[in-house]
Order: sequence, then C-alpha cells, then structure tokens
Amino acid sequence: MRQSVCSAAEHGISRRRVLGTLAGTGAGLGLGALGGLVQPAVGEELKQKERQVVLLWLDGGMSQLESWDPKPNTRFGGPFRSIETLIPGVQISELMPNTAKLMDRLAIVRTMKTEDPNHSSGVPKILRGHPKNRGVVYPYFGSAVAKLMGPTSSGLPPYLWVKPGSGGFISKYAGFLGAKYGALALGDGQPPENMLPPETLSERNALERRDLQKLFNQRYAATHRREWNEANSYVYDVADKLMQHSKLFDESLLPDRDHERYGRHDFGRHTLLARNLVEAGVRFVQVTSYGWDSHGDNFNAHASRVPKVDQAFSALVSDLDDRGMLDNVLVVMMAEFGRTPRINGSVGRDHWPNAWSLAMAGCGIKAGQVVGKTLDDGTDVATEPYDIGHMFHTWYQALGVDSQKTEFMNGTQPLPIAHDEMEPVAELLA
Amino acid sequence: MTVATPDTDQAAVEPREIQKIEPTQQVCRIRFSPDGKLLVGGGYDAKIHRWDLSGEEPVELPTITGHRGWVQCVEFGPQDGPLFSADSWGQLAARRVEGQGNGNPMVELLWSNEAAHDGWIHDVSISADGTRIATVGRDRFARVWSAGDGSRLFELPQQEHDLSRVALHPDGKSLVTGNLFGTLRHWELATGKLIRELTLEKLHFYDRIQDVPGIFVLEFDKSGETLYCGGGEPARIQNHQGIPTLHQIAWPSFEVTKTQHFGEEKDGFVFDFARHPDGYFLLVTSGNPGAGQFLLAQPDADEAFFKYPKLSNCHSVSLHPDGTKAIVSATNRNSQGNGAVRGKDGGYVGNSSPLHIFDLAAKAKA
Repeated sequence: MRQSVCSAAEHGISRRRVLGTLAGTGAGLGLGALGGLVQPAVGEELKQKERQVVLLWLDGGMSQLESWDPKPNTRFGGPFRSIETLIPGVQISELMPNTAKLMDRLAIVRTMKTEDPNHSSGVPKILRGHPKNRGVVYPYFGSAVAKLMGPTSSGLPPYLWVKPGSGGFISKYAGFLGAKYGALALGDGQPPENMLPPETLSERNALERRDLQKLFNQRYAATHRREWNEANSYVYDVADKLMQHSKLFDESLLPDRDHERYGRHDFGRHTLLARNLVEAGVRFVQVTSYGWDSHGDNFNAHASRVPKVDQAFSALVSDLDDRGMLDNVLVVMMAEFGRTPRINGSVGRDHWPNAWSLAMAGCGIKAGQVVGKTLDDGTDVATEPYDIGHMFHTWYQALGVDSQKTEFMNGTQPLPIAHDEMEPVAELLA
Repeated sequence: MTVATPDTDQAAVEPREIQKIEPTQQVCRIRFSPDGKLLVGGGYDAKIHRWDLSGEEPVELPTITGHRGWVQCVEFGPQDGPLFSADSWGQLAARRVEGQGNGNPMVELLWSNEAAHDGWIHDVSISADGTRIATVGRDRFARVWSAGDGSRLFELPQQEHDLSRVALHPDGKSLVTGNLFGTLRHWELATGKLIRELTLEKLHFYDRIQDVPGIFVLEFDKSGETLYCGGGEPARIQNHQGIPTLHQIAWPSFEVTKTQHFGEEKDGFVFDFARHPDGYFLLVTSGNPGAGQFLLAQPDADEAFFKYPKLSNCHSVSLHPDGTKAIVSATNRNSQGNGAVRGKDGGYVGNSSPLHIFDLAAKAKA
C-alpha cells in the first residue's frame, strides 16, 4: 500500500508551506488510485445532504465519573454530587449543570469498552474507529468523512481542526486515502499565516496574481504526475476559499454575548469558532482540548475543566438547535478512554478503557437517552459493551452513509469504512 | 512578627516508626482527639473512621456514618470539644465522640447542617475558644457558625473564585481566606470588611484550561502573630507536581517573612501541617505517584532536619496532644496503574491509607 509519509505533523502554516508539505508527500499520495469509493454515486448523493460533524476531543481522557456516569456516595465516586437532567431518572455530574438542561437533545453511551490503555496507540485507534487490522493505515474520522462526503456546497475545506498551539496541514491523518484528505489545523483557531491579502494589494493586482498562479500551476502540471497536480491545486483552492471567509477568524466581530456563553478560555473560543465554521459550511470540524490526563489532582482538575467544557458544549448544541442545524450536524464529545475508578495516591485517576462514556447529539441520533449501564461502583460495564467501531457505524449511518455497504478502495482492494464485525447501535439512531 | 525559637535540640528529635494501622479505605485527613486516646479519619467513602489508641494496640471502632461525600475535614474543638466534620456535598456536623473507655465507644450527633455549603467544603477552622467554626467551599462562600448549635453567624459576600482554605484569628476578630489563585484576604468579622489582601502568585498555576490550586494549609500560631500558608508552587498539570512550600506571614504587616521549600517538583505539595510545642513543624507532602515525605523542620531553617521519604503520598499528619507521637496517613504502594487491577479473588482492587505511628521522642529517650 501507499500512504502519506509526511513526518512533519504540525508546523506553522502558510499557503506556501501547505503546498510544500503536500508537494513533499506527493510521491506517496496516489490520489488518483487510492481512496476511491466502490459506489461513487453514494458520495455524490451525500454531498447534497450537507450533513456535518463537530467532534469535541478531550485529549488525555476525561473522567466518566466526573461527567457522564457519576457514582456519588460510593467508594470510587469522588467528591462530587450528581444532578438531575431534563430527562427524569438520568443524572450527570454536578460539574455539568448547563448540559443537564439539554439532556433531551443528547445521547450518552456509558458502556464504552475499548482495548488500548495507552495514549500513543489509543488516540489513533479511537479516531480511526479501530477497524480490523488489514495492514493499512486507516484515516481518522474527519479524513474519512472528508473523503466519503467531500466538501459541502460552500466549497470550504472539508476537514478543519481547531486546536491550541500551532497549526499546519496534518496529512498523516488521512492514512491510505492520501494527503489531500488530511486535517487543516488552525493553531489557536487562527487562519494560516499570510492567508489574507495585503491591504495594499488592489483588486486588479490580485486578479493578475491569480492569473500568474494559474500559469505556474499549468507549468507545474505539465512536469508532474496527475496526483501531485491535484494536491497542488487543492491547496490553492483551500487557501482561496479560506481567504473568502476571512471574517470567520475575526473574534472581534462576534457579539460579547457569544464570548460569554462559550467562555473566553481556549475551549470556549475554539468551540465558538467551530460553530461558525459549520455554519459557514465546513463538513467536519474537530476541536481539541489537551491536558485531560489527570493522574494527579484529578478532582481539582475536573472541577476546573469540566465546567468550561459544559459551558462551551451546551452553548454549541443550543446554538445549532436554535439555528435549525442540529438535525444535520452530528456533535460528538469523547476522548481515547476514561479514567480509573480507583483513586491513586496523587489523588488522581489513571487510564481506563474498560467502562467509559461518550456523548453525542443531532443528525439522526435518538436524543434524550442513556445507552448502557455500568456496575454500581463503576468498575466494569453491566450491560452490552460497545467498541468505538460500533460508534463509527452508528455515526456513519446518522450521516447517511451505509457503513455496511460503502467501502474505500485501496488500489484494487476494497476496505470496509468501519469494523466489519460490528454494527450500528440501533437504539442510538432515531 | 515573632518566630518561635526552638528550645529543643533538634538533633535529639529523630522520629521512629513504631506502629502501623492498615485501614482498607482511603482517608483525607486524620486527627487525634484532645485527650489523645482516639484517632479519627475522614474518608473518601463518606465515613468517619475511628481507632481507639488508649491501649497498647490500636483498636478499630465502628465507622461513623451520616455524611454522603468525601469527609475532607475532621477537627476537634479545644479541650474536650466535639468533633466537627465537613464533606464534599456541603454538610457540616458536630458530634460528641469518645473512645472505648468503659468499652462502649460513644457517638452523639449534636447537630448537622446538610446544606452548610452548596457542594464541596474545602476547609474548616475552629476558633481558639471553641465557640465558632469557619468554613469555605467551592461555592465561593466563607461562613462562620456557632459551634454550640450550628446556627449561621456570619457570611462573606460570594467571592469570585473557589475558596480553598480558611483560618480564624485567635483574637476572634478576624478571618483569613485563601483562594484558588493564591490570594489571601483578611476580613474583619464584625463588619465583613476586607482589610488587607496578599497574593502569593506562585501558589497558582494555569495551563490548558486548568487552574491548579496551591494553598493546602492555612492557620495561625497560638499567639496570632504568624499566619502559616502552605501547599506548593504548582509546576504542571496531569501529574500533581509542584514544589512543597510553607510561607510564614507576619500578621501585623501581612507580609511574608519566611518561605521554606521542601523538595523538588516531583515532591508536590504540603498537604498537612502541625506545630510541635517545642517549636518545630511537622509536615507531610504528596506529589508524583509514590512520592511522599514526612518532614520535621525548624521555623527559621531552610531545610527540614528530619526527612522520611519512605512513605508513599502522605496526605495528613496529626500530633498527639502530649507531643510524643505523630501519625501520618500515607498511601499504599503501587497505587497507580492503568486499566483494571484485580485481586486474587478477581475483584477490582482499590487503594488504602496506611497510618504510620511515629515516636517523636525516640532519640532523646535513648
């Protein structure tokens, strides 16, 4: 197989650097041959539906006991209380009061049971949907959606990643699909460097520049392989589209009320940007919050962090609902695992793939319910366990992709888009 | 400001571990009763654990129930005062508790307020005369209660940040709060007026949407001349890393006069603190998994004169009223681990807080 060989996963980005990254990996892209759909018509149909995804990724692992699956007044329950939600009988942590009021729009899965207790291998396994091993590198969820559904009619890049720190084009997330389907990371929610045209550039000069660029592209195409040329053109298209939406990145244009509702912290700012990006038509937006690996001081950490997530998450779901978008936007909040019931000597909790939780909303997800139950002390699942593969099937179905029929093509090799021994979770689908 | 002058030859104090109690649960804080015959520990399991220490061997007594969240605070009133306990669900309670004595360990609930705070009560402070109790919590309120009947006597306006610790001045006229951001505020009890403020910036850390608190200890010396503010200078998130720190603050000037650091970043935070009648301090620290220290230090020294690093993650220390013994609550070894840790019976294994009893006069006796 061929796959992206880009080793510089994250770096400062400009149009030129995006191009550089892609050109450097062009030999391994195989864009024409790889990642095609067995049923391309399905993809065309999906493009019309404009369904979108916001993935809120809490890197390091949020504690299920301090969020979605509290066990108050038990040995491992921790110090916090649980609170009632809008759905009678469903309780979540007191650290999520705003989310509790939106429970009629959410579905919680409490019996996630996955295999990997390590960050380095667990993160990609979860974000790839832990497919059956076929000796290829599967794409992350965002790359897969970008391939399966393409950009929306907005033409905006299909996979944007809003994250703290630096940005860059993360081609490796695309796996065997080829670099074009990687994530364009917006470091601290900022657009790529030099994206905006200089103020001194007149409209006429800008058009002349575009003409000159076309000329260069033609020369480039004449001397390079088709897939390289595709990638080259794609990068310019991405930059051009983002330039047309530069106001998306100007926080000062947003009302104070939005900043207050989402929070002025990184996660609030980045989630607010995600709302604006999906509203503008980006197909898949991932927002990442780092630092959830609370081996020490877990309870003060969650007391500080979870209310911020509660604030931003609830504002996002409310806004999408208020704008009539929630029927078409799938919102998922998860991490690579949860945290151990037992409390270690550092007053922390360790890695826990054994019985953790995630939440979702919108886009064909049956809301107002909790799926699965853990033991009274949270030390294992009490009902049917679910793997991330089940979730990928479920989410594809919600997005209108038949996860059991649609396949990727790796050269001549058809590959299922989700674990072929798993199925969607029927009770999660409306 | 006066700094207690050591009147003991510090070299003559070399604690020796003489006994160990092995509870099956974890406790947040331990305290001797005023007569020294009873030890209580507030548990993660919402119970108050008790051990009778009047005989040669500690005897575990039935636990006291009635709390629902972590019992982070257990403090006895002075003389033969009651036991005050506070939990993470906002309950504050007072009980008359006695040891075995005549073979019938007695517990009498005097009063209880299930809604003293909305959620986690982080600290309690008992007035020198035992008539009042101050509390602070995650709800950002500081309140003062009658020790006799639990009625609320005073409340500060809700603060802008979580309140971590509280100390009542021995003169009964002032109260000091310490918050998440390392800010100490001196309040006049009669008027509720803010008198002074001091921010110890290093006792707070922010990274990746997480505020890390650094104040774990706040208390006056008996004279009220010195305020001790301990905890740590947080260095990072994820693991509980920081430099264990104790500040001595002169009450007249409200300025730091001495800062002591007790280790490196891996050592974490001073979790608990006691003052020996001979003038030296007893401190316990907890940091990285497995990193724990029991320390003795003179007030004017830059280093502890006794370090006992063999314990794992120490969370509380209590000094026997006669000053001859101290008990340290630590954590069992190998308390950290990813995934499910199973015992021989296949059951999920939790952690516990072994209690280490030290003879403080061992070397002098020899």
